[in-house]
Amino acid sequence: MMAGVIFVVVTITFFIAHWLPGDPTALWVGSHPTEEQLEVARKTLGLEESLGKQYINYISNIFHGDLGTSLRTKQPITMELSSRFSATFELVSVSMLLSILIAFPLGLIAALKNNTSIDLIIRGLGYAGLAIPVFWLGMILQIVFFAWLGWFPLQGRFSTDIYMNTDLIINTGFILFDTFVSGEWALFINAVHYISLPVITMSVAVVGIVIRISKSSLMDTMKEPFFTTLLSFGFSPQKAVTSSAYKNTLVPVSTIVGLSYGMMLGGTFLIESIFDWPGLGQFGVLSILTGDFPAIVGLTLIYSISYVLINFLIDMLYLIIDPRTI
Amino acid sequence: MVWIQRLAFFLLIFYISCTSEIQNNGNVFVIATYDDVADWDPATAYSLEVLPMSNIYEPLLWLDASDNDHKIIPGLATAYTKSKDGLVWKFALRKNVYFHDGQYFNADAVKYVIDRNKSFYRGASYIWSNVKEVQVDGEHDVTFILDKPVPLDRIVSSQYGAWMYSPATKNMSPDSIGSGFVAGTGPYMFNSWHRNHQIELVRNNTYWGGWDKPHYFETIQIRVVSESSTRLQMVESGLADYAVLIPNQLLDRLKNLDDVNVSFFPAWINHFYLLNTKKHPTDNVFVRRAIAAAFDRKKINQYIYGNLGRVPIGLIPSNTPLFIAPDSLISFDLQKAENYLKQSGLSNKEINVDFSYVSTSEEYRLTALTMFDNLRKIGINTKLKPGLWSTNWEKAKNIKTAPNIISMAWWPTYSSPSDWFFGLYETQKNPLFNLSYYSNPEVDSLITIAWEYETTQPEISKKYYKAIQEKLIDDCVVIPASDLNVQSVYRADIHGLRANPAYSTLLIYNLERKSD
Repeated sequence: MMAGVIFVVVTITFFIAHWLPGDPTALWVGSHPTEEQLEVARKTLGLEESLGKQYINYISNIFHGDLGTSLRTKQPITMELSSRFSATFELVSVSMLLSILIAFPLGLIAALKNNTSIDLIIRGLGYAGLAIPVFWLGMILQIVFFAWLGWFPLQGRFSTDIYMNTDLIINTGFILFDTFVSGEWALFINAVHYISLPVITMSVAVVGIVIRISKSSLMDTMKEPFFTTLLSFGFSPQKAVTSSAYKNTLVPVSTIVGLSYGMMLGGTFLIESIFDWPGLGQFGVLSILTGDFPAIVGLTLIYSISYVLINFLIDMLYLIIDPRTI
Repeated sequence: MVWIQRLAFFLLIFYISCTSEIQNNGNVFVIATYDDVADWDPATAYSLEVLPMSNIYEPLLWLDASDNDHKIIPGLATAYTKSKDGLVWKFALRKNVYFHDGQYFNADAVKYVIDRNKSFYRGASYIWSNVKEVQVDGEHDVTFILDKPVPLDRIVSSQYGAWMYSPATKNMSPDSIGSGFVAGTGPYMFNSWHRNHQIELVRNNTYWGGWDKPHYFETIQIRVVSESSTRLQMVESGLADYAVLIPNQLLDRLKNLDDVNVSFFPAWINHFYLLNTKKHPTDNVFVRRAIAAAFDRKKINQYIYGNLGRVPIGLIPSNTPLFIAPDSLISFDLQKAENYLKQSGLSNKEINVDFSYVSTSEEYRLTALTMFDNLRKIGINTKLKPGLWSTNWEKAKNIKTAPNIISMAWWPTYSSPSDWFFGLYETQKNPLFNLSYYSNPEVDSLITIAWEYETTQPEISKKYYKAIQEKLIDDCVVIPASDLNVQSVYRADIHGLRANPAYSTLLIYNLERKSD
């Protein structure tokens, strides 16, 4: 079924990208081309073939790991995507981890302290997180923490000078992982330093969602008979939640985390542009703005695979969290 | 307690690394630009590559267009002569010049480069299309045989497709060429390229021009920063010395900053609107004139372009070589526009025009809205069609989908007015850039004559170019909108920046950092 979803998405994107008006050769040959140059470009890009044949070629090339060549960067799309995927995936994963670490306990506290001033503060934080536009927050964080305080860097993923002088024993493209495993602490700290502002910006909206979901599901759990039983045995509400009841909130929270992961992958378009994070989102923005259709189709493929896989993993996680689903 | 000590140590290191970011770049010149290099081959590179390449490679001649004299100055050729008919050009090459890979620069290298560049069908390879043959006359002497008398001195000084590079390229793998390793002779050498992040060039210690001044930059770092407000913050904070393409509306905040300068230099680029001469209702010359008379060129330049534009006085930028202004352009006058409309015989009918413009440009967008309003006042309904250039262009090439009015920008590959006139107004059976579908044998012939006289009799050529403009104005094929200026946003301690519209780049060898 997963393969079917991906196939349908790629097919739809391929045909939409090809039916949209626009001459891809214009981007390939540059400004002011001659008619001869355009003809050569059409042949090179295989645009003289019928659309059906182009589609068959494209699908067959995908199975060989070839997604074509970007019209804008003139580089193989597989290479562009693989070098950028790690940057985006790292940003989204760290943001998600941070969101869960902050929001899940806050949601539980808000439920336990329902309708108290603590609950109001936590709810306020959640609403603020949902209401603040990420592009605005990103720019404000840049102004405060870079321009005024000078605590965090403005843009990028790491300092090139440090990167060039570092020998990584493993190079997966996930800088935090690679530097941690290699024991390259200077670059690790530098990378943490660079990722901080984009992660904070990206986490804020998800924090709001997770707070709300974890609070409401714990509130429901607290109405269950087993919770009253635990209280009657002398457990304090806090003890009852931390020892047992919190587990009941994990299913809805993990569902929302899965959906938010997909949302975050799509949401990197703005964050990566603001912080100049060299990931898929930034590549996507430039590809869309310039009409680089092979890159757009390749990006859609990678996004749909990621989304389907993440939701598959979340489904698997249900089995661990709630064995009754087996 | 151990974990507290570790945490404190980690936080201390983190704080130190946090606060060490803002720094003076010293003898490193940092440029913040908006996109990466797409093509590292100096033969075919045709875009932002000019920024690193103009510091790595050199042409045979340079064109100094900083003033109206437009002087040709020596590059890798020290002198040149041309035959009376303009078909044979001889160049004396500079001696004791080495490529960065150690190869000697000589006539064989020149022949290799031209022959290789001609073999491509991409980029600016077409500039060599009139070169029949390159002959090696000696170690430092080379002759170009042409099939038409084109201005070869300006072609060899082109900013695209004319860089000299090492013949060792023939033994290089496409991967090496595509990674920036083709050697040049320029003051800086390629050092590293971290894709989509940074290009680093380092000083070429054996540069033939020498390093005898006290304040040269040792290293050039070109950083790819796609967000314009981030590029601006980099210059403000000193992280970058120069920022490329900052939107006009962001520049206001620099007014009170002493550390950052903003300059505007005239460029050889203009914005204009082509009027479709084959499509109803703009196939009627009076309708076209009415539209042109509704175009408020002065106000559009004053309020929309601001410092980024100059009011045009002709159909090509007024600082272009061989330019003479036509007697007049159709001026803004709504009463006159209404009169033209009456003369068209269509004033009692509903008149609808399609107006296509590039949506990513704020200047085009605002101009389109101004035109929408002015045309409404004289009874023309305008359907605005914003879109990407590639989309607009494809539609415009088909008469069925072509708009009546289309926004365009043009700049020459090498410094000749012929580039505008051949590209935009010469009869084309299947229009490529002649998107007005204009066809006039008289104009075709005038363009060819003007171009052929460029080399041998430039004064006569100028008069022909003036005549062409007047004919096009009379037929009302185009509405010139603005002659553009190029913006420079840079740290105030950078000195030596000069305007040269022939090259959209920075020659870092000529710059220095000094505090006043």
